[in-house]
Amino acid sequence: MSEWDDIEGFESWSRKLRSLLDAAADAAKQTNHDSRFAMSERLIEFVENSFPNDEKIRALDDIASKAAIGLLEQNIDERLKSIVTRNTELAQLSKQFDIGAEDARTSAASIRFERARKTLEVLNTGVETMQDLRSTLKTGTDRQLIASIDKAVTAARKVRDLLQKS
Amino acid sequence: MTPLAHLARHAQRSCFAVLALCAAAGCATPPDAGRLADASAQLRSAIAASGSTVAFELDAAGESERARQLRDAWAAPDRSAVALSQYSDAVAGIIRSGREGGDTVRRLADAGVQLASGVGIALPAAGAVAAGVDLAAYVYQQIALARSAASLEQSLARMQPAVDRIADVIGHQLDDAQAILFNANKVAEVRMRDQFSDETGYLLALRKERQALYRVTPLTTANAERLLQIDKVERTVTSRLEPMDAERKASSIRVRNALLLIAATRQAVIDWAGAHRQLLAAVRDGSAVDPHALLQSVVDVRELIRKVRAQ
Repeated sequence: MSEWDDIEGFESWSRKLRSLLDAAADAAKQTNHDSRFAMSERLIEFVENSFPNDEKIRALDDIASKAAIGLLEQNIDERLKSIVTRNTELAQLSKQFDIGAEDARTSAASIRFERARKTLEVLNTGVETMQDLRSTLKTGTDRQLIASIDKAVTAARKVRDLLQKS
Repeated sequence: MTPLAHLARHAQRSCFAVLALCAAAGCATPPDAGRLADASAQLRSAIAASGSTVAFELDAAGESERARQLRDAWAAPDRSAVALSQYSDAVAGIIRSGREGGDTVRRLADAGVQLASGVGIALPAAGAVAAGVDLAAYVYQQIALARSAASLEQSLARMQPAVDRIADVIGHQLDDAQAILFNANKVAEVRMRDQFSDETGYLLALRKERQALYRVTPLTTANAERLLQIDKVERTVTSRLEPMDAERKASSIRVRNALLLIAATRQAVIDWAGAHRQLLAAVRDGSAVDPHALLQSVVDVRELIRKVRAQ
């Protein structure tokens, strides 16, 4: 026998709903999400079982549905809030992993002799540019000379920047 | 001194150190971290899919504002999955660098030879240079392996507490996401029931009337006719409830797949942290890495993401 079997007429259904709403108010005050979920299920059962389906009973059903949704939304909001709260720590941990990744990349680069290779590459480019400049000084036009000087300056700057960094 | 000569001298000096390191560390090649990196990429998709599938359920329940809030909030778990993935890639990069030590020396030597000839420095005969480079490459390969093992151990050991903590925090985020899924699904059910309340209410009335007629004995002709009529009307009303039943079935499949995805993601996070711990142990004491659990969770997660996206 279920809790709905002996309820007959609008007054009885109304009384039943009032007792359910009192229990729902208690559940809403508690921190336990499961009891709110269980309470919302009882309110849904009320809607399923209330009878007859006339306007007055439908008004009760509407109240019960809204109360059930309210409890469920409260659960959702609290879980959302809990996700947001935890996100602060997650953001800090993510930063820690960024630093860990950067350290690991630096280790990998050092194992690959990356800085030495880059230095040599920049120096090679610088030497090539200077050699171009020298041959332009001998044979080229003014415009070619200016372009070669620009390139040489850029190459010299790269070498300087790299030396400053090391 | 040319870079090449410097390299050769460095190689000679390092040779003894390498031999000593090899003796100490057993010169074991660092374990493969590629699987950890692959699993991290999959984990990233799984965490993103878990968030979006729950947000979809909120939308389906008519809770679009809360769906938006969840999507915004889920940016942090997404971002942490990206950080995990990049970290795993970088760890795998240390091991790759160790393995590619010999090639590095050859590339470095090529650049050195180019520079020396560019500035007009006379180099030894080509054969001698090549032999020097080969020796340097071999020696450096050993140095790189030993250095990569040491760097890897340092990186893994430093990050292990953060790995354990992030696995725990992401696990809790997934628990909350799962609870939101349950509640959102219930809200959707209540709203759908409201939408079809005329039909469900009428069905209830018909059922009650039929039960009342069953209790009247003996069965009169009028009551028998009424029972037949109730049957007919009931079928008509039930057919009007078909859209609700169809949506219920679809929603139940969606929720089941979402729950499986969340559970698999939670397991994948645990397995990822476990694999990280195993990798650290492997680097420290040369124990084998068993990728079975990690690979299985990757397979599970991939299949579930496919299912969830196909919905």
